[in-house]
Amino acid sequence: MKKEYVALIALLTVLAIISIWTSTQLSVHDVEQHITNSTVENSEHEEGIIEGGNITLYIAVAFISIVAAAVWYYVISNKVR
Amino acid sequence: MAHIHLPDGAFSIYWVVIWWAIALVLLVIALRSARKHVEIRRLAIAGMLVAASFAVFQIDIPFAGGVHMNLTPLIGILAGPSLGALIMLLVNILNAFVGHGGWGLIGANTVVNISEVATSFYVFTITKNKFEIFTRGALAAIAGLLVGNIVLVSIIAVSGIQGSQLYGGSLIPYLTPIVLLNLIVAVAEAIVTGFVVVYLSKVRPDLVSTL
Repeated sequence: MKKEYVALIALLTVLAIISIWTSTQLSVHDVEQHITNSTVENSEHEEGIIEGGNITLYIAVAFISIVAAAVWYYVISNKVR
Repeated sequence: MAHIHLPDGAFSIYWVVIWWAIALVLLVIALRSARKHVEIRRLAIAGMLVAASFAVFQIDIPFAGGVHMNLTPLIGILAGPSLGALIMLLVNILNAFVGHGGWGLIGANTVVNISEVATSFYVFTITKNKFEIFTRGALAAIAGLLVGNIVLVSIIAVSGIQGSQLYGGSLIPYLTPIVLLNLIVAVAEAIVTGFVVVYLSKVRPDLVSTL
């Protein structure tokens, strides 16, 4: 294996370890709680986030399906060069 | 990866206007550059990248309370910084529609994402002939996302958060863990970007203009 790949794997591993270790100490929500107060947090639920279950997930799945088909067609197509 | 998830009202109107103004200046520069340098056929790629990035934004990775990828390094490599800036504006507007980041934060988030797109593009370009394509893609992703996170932390620290006791430099110790937590996304994006760029370089090298 090339040296650059070994170095890259080492770099990615170190970054992953740092991140995973940090995640054992606190979460993103902890950070948000630290930097905001209750006023901001309450307003997030009222006006920042759309309630409605998994609608965002459904949108994402639909988009991914369309994009996957479009990318596949675009890549294999010779019409656009 | 780097994306300000605070709701509308977190930044004062003063800072909302400032970040919008900075974003608009960058977008005007990008638009002028795109008109001169971007080929029409790249607009098709740009459209697909908008859709792909928006979709990936919505997929919550269950790590440390929830993080997500955003494909900005790939956008930078495939579309370039000027078209990439316009793509990120559209992605952030679509995100605001589904409550992923406030409307007033579109300006700040666009600035963050432009920094990622531009850094990834230039790192991928300057490493030409120095590394293999996979390594170049991975390094571009890591560099872009690190810069994006630093810009994100800087924007929040400079702007402050309305109603919070913390302000300016006192926010940084609390925001630094965000950068560290997001490193796992940088690793994921580095691998994805590397593989996608390698694949495209084999089947459609003309799509990767910076090869």
